[in-house]
Amino acid sequence: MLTGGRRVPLPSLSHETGAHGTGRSANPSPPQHLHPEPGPPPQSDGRPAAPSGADGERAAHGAHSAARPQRVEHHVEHIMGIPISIAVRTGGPGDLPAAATLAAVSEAFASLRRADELFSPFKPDSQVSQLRDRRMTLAGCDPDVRAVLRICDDLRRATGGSFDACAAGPDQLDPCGVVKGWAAERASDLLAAAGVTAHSVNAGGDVHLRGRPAADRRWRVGIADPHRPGNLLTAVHGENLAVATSGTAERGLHVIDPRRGMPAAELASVTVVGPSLTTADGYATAAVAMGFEALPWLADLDAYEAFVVDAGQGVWWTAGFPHHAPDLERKAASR
Amino acid sequence: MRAQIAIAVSALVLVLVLGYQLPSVPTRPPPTGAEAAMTPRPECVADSDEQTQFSGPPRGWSLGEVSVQVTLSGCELVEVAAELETTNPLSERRSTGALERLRSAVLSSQCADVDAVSGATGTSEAYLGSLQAALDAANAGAPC
Repeated sequence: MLTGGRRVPLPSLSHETGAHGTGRSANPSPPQHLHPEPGPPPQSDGRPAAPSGADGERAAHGAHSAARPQRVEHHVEHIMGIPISIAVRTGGPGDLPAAATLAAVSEAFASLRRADELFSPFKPDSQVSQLRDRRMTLAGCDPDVRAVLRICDDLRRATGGSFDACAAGPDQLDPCGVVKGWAAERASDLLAAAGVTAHSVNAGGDVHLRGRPAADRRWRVGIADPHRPGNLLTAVHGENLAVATSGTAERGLHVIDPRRGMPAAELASVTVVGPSLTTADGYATAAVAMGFEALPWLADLDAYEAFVVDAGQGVWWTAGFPHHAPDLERKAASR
Repeated sequence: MRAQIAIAVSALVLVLVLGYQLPSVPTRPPPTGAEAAMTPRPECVADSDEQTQFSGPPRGWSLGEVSVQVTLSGCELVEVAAELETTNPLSERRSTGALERLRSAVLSSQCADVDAVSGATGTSEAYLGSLQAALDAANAGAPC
């Protein structure tokens, strides 16, 4: 169990937006904000400074906001039934004014809610639901829906059928394995276009990184241990990089292996890193469906590296993965 | 047995070559015929102590050959081993011999200063626990 440290007030779940199955139209609550300490200098031994408590945090934040130090701000909303966390660098030279940053973040969340309205198989009137029920034809769909289904098709071919949006059956179209990454990548594109050049969009574990949170470091994405909730196995350090994880840990055996028609159970989680979050998300989902056969397939991918935890608590990674996770070789060597 | 392996390898190769090739997709070896078939899985008896070993057929990839061996006790996974051997000495992706397998307990730690967590944040309820843990870890001082 973790001990010590500072507890940060977390958003309550009472403002859940886009909840499964409620059929509510998007009526967004104000985004929940997490404000970690604004960036006091680290202690001499390199550890980050720890304010004394919630009051200390608010006082420190108030004292610093006048000087506008460069810092990372986290904004969280619950969309598509998952937490979407957008972290933006703000307050420094070259960053947008705070109001413009907030507006861009709102736009990004709005685009994610639109994606939920279009794609959620849990919303009876989403276009995906209507496609399944044949209440709508593909030609009548939003161009985004056609684009995502084309991506699903490409992925099905690229993965030899291991990624299949109709894995659960021909009437059970479910592009969720790629929608999360696609929508998060689009939200990141929106932020960049609006001038928020350094940000991280984390859609329930699928992360798109852009720029640097500070001049002297890159973004750090911890890779969760599927066997030990709350623990991290390693961290990916990156700028302009996508990190997607698919697995069986949280939702149980939800990834169907389309070739066997049964839930895939051999790999607890697969993390894929590379240039595009949509592709990384599709590859990670496909790899979970493949089971152990994913290991050679992942090792052979161009431009994408992978980190895999199997059901037996073994951890595997492709030869190029430590390039993205500097601590990994050191940890492996010290066992 | 050898005939079964040959059929399975040919089948897999055929399935792969029918795949559409995208720029970011690995190149596939040419087909050698035979019908597509799934990689066979062993029959297992749940709740038994009987140990069985199952080896996937070696696959020819553009870089070399990979074989995966799985050991089951009953139907429970006990051990998995994979070997990736490159046959192309000029390839940039040098094989490390066996894909190294470590126990996750060796790597698991309370990692500090992460901006995001990729993995076990699938549901809103679990999010509270995992994000809380990650933020606590960020302030616990342990370097990643």
